[in-house]
Amino acid sequence: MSLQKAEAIVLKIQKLGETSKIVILFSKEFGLIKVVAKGARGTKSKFLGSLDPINHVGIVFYHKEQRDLHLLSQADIIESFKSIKQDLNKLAYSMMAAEMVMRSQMERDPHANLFHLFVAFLRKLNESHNINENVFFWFQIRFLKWLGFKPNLKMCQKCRKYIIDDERVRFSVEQGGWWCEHCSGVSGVTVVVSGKTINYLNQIEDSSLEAIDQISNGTEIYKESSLLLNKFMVYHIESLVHMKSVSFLEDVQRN
Amino acid sequence: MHYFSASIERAVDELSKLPGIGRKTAQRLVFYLMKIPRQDVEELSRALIDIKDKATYCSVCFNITENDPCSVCTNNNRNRSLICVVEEANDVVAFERTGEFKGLYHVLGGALSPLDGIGPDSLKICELIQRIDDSVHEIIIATNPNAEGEATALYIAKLVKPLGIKISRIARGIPVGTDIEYADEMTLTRAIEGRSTL
Repeated sequence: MSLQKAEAIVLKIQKLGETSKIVILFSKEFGLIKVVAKGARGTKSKFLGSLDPINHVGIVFYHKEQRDLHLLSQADIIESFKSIKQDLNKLAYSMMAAEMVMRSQMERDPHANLFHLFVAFLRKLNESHNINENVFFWFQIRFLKWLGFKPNLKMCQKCRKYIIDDERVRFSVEQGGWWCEHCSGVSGVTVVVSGKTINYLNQIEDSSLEAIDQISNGTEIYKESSLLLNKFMVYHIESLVHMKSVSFLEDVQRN
Repeated sequence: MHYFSASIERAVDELSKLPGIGRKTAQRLVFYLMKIPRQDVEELSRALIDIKDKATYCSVCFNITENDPCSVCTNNNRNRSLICVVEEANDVVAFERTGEFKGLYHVLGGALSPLDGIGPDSLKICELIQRIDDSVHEIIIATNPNAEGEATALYIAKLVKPLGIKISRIARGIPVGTDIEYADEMTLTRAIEGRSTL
């Protein structure tokens, strides 16, 4: 058993016994980590508010080789993303991102690029004003890229032409690209979306996080983008089928 | 594990179904029950059966009670214009222990937890909205001060605000008896925000 330090995002908390918690974190150094925080539910716990979902924390823990559950010794908040926790829509998006990370990542398999992407996403979401969808799609496209499943949204898969806004195209969930209305050959599950949606997602893909606020959008484009990306994601990454946070996001957006 | 008695085996099996109790603990409890007088064991079994026979949920506030509506909801001396919204029935017990709150309660039965699939439909949120009439002047949200509790508070506030009723959140910050130097920044921020005039 060795004492280790890590930088991590808190993903999920589970109650353990009368006073303790099991905390699932995504760390830069170790990938997913599961730790026991003894006495963390007590009012005088040294962990107090540091172990809250989506907190960016620095932790010290006793790492046990060949064990899945480690013992947390210390947790200090680096960033608490207060504005996310005070906005239901932002919270719902951050929870969906947390579930995507939690279900797709493994213990003892660090992914520093994905960790930095997740932190950047939370920072931007924390400071954004009503562009939460842009920030989430920016994250989702890059998340797919780091997992090796980035869709090709640039041009028609057959005739290689670029899209115009008024066109309707078929996006192949299986093949991860779109076919224009004049081309045939698309197979399997398809999603029909507008050229505006494809152009919007291309802009999101090419944009830096700093410039993401300037991309124009609309409810119909959000809906189509969400449908396209979610269908593509769950088709290719089996562990993301039936994500529980999706229904929460839908509930929040409905009310 | 094999026991010499099928009845002991069965008792260990049943007790180990309880949360937090493994087979070792269940075995210890069964051997303890073997040693105590028969009358004590009968009392225990009657108490357990009574939970299922007599205890139920209040149809108004969803607290645990033996009479529906519960003694809090039917007490005319309580302030009926105040409703304190809590996550679990245990929280009502904690508030009642203080003796400070004289209003009514509403037990949600948990908190919103997106990663566990607990959404608004799994909680008694609709029932809370239906309960609100002209006699209610303030809703106090006393969910836990963590991400799930805050999300639940925000969700309820979103539904209650259009009704024009005052909605408040219990104060969050430094617990009594702790040292400020050990408090994290989130807790201290909450404590500053929730400060009161002396």
